[in-house]
Amino acid sequence: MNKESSPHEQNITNIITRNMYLLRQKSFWGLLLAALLLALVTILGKYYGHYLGLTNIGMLYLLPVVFAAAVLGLAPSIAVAVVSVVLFDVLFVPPVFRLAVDDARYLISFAVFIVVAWTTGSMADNLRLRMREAINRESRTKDLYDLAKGLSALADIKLLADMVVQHIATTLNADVVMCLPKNGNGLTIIAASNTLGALVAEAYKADAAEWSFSHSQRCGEGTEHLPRAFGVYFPIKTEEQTLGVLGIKANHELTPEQVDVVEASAGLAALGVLRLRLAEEAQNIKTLEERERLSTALFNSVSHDMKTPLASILGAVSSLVDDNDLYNAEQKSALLSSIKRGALRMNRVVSNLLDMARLESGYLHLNQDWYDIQDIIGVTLRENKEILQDHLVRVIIPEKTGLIKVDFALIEQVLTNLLHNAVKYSPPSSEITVQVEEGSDEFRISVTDQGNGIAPGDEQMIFEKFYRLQSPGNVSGTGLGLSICRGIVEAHGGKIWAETPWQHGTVITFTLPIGERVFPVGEMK
Amino acid sequence: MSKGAKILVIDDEVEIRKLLKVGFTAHGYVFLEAASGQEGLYQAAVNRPDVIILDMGLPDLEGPEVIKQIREWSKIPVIILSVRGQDQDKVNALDLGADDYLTKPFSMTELLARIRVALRHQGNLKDEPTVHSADLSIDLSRRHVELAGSEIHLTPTEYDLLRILVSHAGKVVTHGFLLTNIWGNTSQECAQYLRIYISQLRKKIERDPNQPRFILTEPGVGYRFNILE
Repeated sequence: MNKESSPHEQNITNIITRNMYLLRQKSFWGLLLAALLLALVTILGKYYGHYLGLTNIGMLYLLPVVFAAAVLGLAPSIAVAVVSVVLFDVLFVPPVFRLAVDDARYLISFAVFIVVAWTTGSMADNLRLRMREAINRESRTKDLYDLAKGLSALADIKLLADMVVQHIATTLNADVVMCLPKNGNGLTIIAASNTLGALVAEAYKADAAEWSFSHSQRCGEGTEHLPRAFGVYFPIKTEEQTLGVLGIKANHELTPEQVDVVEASAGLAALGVLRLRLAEEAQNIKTLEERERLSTALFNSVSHDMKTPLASILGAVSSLVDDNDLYNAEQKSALLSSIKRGALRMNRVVSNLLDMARLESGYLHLNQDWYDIQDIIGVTLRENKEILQDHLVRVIIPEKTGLIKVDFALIEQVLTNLLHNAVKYSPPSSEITVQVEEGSDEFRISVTDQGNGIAPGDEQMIFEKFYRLQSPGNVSGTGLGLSICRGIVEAHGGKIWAETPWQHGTVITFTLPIGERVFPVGEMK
Repeated sequence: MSKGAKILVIDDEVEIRKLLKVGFTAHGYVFLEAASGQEGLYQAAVNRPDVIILDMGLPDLEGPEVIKQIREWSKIPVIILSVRGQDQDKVNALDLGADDYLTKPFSMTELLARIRVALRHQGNLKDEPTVHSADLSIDLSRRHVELAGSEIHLTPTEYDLLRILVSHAGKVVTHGFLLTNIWGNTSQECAQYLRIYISQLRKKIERDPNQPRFILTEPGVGYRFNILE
């Protein structure tokens, strides 16, 4: 705040000239009132002059002067003072009706008029100026507060920069750019109020911007550093470090108030950038921790889920190799089926791990095409015949359904995992229902089993990686199945959720958006 | 023809070759092997096998390349072995003239069934005019389709679809092949029509369209008509 350093008078004249038009508008009624007062005083003086005495008439003429000074300010009050002096002189001070003064003492009265007008007017103007400043300050503070509030809600650096730039640009009616260092070296423009403006081109050259950034000081037009640069550059800085640069090009030199606005906004921008940077670091640490936790879980899960089937395979195989003669045909066949089951189980574990890796790595490429959902279900049931053989599978599907744009193999994977889950968590020979409903813009597919259901509160958890229901039975699996389902369904733009609607049994439902159909589905010849 | 037929396995995995050798010789086939694409092409030219089993992940040559070279001079049936996720390679290979495919891990029973189908088509048996699969019969000479003794009415397109699938019974027929032979082009729209026609056809000939027995979908590749005893 360097307002005190600027000369008062200059400020006052500034304000007066700047607001002359406004003042004229506003003071029309004031001037009229002053004129009426003058007339009233004149009439009073004319009729009761002999009774009041010349001195009191003179005093009365001070009233309109004081009024004008208080209400209208310096210039009008001096004008009114001059008129008062002239009227008083011409109409009352001998010689009457002439602009002359017999008694030189009245010159003192006239001087008092002018002095009163000057001092009162100045004081009133000063007060008004202060008030205006206070109002300006308040509105600036409010703007900054709004900006601060807006910035604190943003989680993206680009949006933050846009907001800061827009704020300054509208407040100052100027072109604004914001530059941040790119990967630690060199500034890059992150936001600009006018992306095609000359300021952007200038900031790209970055000389002044770089200077401001590296010296952490304001430079450019109207400053002592690089005054020939195009625009003014403000560092975005905290106490410890400089985070970026704001460049501004207005069509006039910035006033001290405007500099204040920019500096305050730059301060807020600095806080915002710093906040986001810290949040990002915190997120990175969290991701690392999460990754570590996941890899431990993965390690445990994989070692368990791979070793168990491997153990049964190796056990059965070594029995057959070493003691082949000891077993009869029936026993051999039992050992062989145990090998087959173990191998199938390992195959599933490996498939799930591969799917998980694909989902995690972001390499999941959806190979989408238009398919018949009934066909996908049919293939899934065929592929999982052996696993489903101890359950009754019922498919409920509308007589006529349209095609849906999905990745066949991935949706088959979702259904496979849901069916495996249903088999795992429900008693043998119970019913598993696959139901399809077609809405106007999505398919809703659910798999229902007759198991124990999910404990309330666990409905969300089961879709987390490596989560497994606490179940009394010996249930195997990586705990990856449902989280893979979620990954795939969400990649398709759908949702997946679980319910236990009748105290028992689990319903897992997922939706798939249909996509834009090229043509309606109907009977064709 | 079936017994004593020569089968050439082109696969760089020793264990797979060992396993197949046991399986094939036990079923009376003559087993030939090659560990690389080049060697496989050489063996194919010199020993003239009746069926070739070709792994898609060879170290020296791409699977489709091997098929292209074989198809330049021979119509020997080629069955591809691939791993999950090689859909496009699979389709390319089939379009280049491979006869069928199997995804690893596979069962010996399945592979032997594919080989029998390939040999049957290779033998170019004079096709019976009527094809039977369980209680479905298709009389190709009269364009007559019957399910459990009662006639099924098919639209011309549905019949064409069924006819093409049936005449390649047991073998996979790619989307591209069906589209070209029915609509003359492979546009996106026709691909969608194909799915809808298959669905309609199943509703007419399958007892449970949710679990089709006759027309099986090979995801990402095409369809297969299944002959049931």
